[in-house]
Amino acid sequence: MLCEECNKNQATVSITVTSGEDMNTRHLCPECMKKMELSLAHGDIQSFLSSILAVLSASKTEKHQPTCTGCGLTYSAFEQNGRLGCAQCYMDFSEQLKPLLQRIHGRTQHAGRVPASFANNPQKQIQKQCDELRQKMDEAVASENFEDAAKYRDELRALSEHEEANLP
Amino acid sequence: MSQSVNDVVVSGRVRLARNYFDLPFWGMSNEENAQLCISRATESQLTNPTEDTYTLYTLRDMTKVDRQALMEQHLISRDLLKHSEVGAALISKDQMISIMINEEDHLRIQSIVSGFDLGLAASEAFKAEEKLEGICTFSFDPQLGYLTSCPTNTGTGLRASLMMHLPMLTRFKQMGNVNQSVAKLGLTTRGIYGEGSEALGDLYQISNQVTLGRTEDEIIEAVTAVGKQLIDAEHALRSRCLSDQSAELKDTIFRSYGLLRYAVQMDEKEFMQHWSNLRLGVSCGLLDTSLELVDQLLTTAQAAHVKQYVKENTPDLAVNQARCQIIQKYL
Repeated sequence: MLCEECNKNQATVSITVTSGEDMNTRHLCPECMKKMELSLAHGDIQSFLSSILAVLSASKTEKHQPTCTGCGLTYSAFEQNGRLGCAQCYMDFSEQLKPLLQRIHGRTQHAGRVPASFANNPQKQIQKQCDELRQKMDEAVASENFEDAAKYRDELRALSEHEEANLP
Repeated sequence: MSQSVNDVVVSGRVRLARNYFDLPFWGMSNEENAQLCISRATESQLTNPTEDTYTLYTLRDMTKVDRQALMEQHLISRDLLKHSEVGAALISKDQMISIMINEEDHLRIQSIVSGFDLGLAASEAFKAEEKLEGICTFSFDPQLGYLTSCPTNTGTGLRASLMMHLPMLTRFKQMGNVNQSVAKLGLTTRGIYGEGSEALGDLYQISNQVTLGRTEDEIIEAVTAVGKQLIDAEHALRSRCLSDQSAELKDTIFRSYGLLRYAVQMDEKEFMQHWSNLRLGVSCGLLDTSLELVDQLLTTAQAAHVKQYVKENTPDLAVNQARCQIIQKYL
């Protein structure tokens, strides 16, 4: 795991801060840990605490701040100006956008024209669906959400079988 | 009084919002990508030299007045003017198709017809889209359809709108009810230059709000059906007013006609009010001018067009005086 402070070195130290019922753990590299220890060694407890708090608040913001992997737009930036940054935003913010689209349009399944490149190439469509399912499955496994992962695996299997059955 | 849809409908418009699949949307884009959007669109229209019927307008190479004049002709939108550093438009020679580049989406393909035929407008827009599709791939998702910068356009990316002249519904304070009923059907009413603009000259744009989960035909049918109802309601009020309040109606129309013919100076807001009465008078058969001419006047007496006229013909004349000269050439 990479250090959550510098995002460069391997994290070897874990710090857990407990505040009331909240417990936050941060993983740091020796270099970043040393910086914090130095402030403590110099009796600068204020500086040490603010480093810890800055790290923790950054972690909290990240947790509640979905960010597009395509263009880097945060969901809160989208909420402010109402404009998405790229096509990938639709995938990365799908959880938030689905209810929004439902509210705006009353439906969430496209019923209109399909570009010629898609219409003439059903395999491309299935391939795209497979890619998306595979990505969702990997994410579910990474977050130890095995129930969802199994659901995606079954969907993926069904789709692949369907594709094979329809091959010329 | 013979009534036709053109008495009420000034124009019909269909626009498609499209984005290139491999470039970030406008908000996260940069100069290089913006230029790429322009060159791709231009290339697609120039691949067949025999069909080279488009002219490229690059906004930053144009004066502010010339840009605004394109907006007054509804060939570009107010939003494109805001992006004038990178905005461009490919406009067909007959001015029926305009492809706005680097507006809110990479491409806004719009087709304008002079009457009520939104089906025709749509098929022309799709033809232009197919040409573009020949050389590039648009951002598309099988579930969500065409992906657009704003989720309000996701799906078909299609906005069908009718520019309607509704002086009687306005006069009898029915527009509040109209707005409410129209909203229930997933449609919306806007002013003369689209979202956020004023309904000057009793002109309203009726368009679909919903773009996802309906086919293009369903959207066009819905806008057309509401358009027909509004035409009937406006015609009914005109007939009633002509029989019950004939003197008042004629007085309003002829006073406006008199001012338009003989006034020496007139600002745009006052012009729009009299223009509305002029159009109503022509539609009701009270004035002997063609609707086509009246609709042309609507564009040529707008601020930027008047400024262009002043620059070319009468550099010392004030804009409000020049407007009257233009009007009087028409009447």
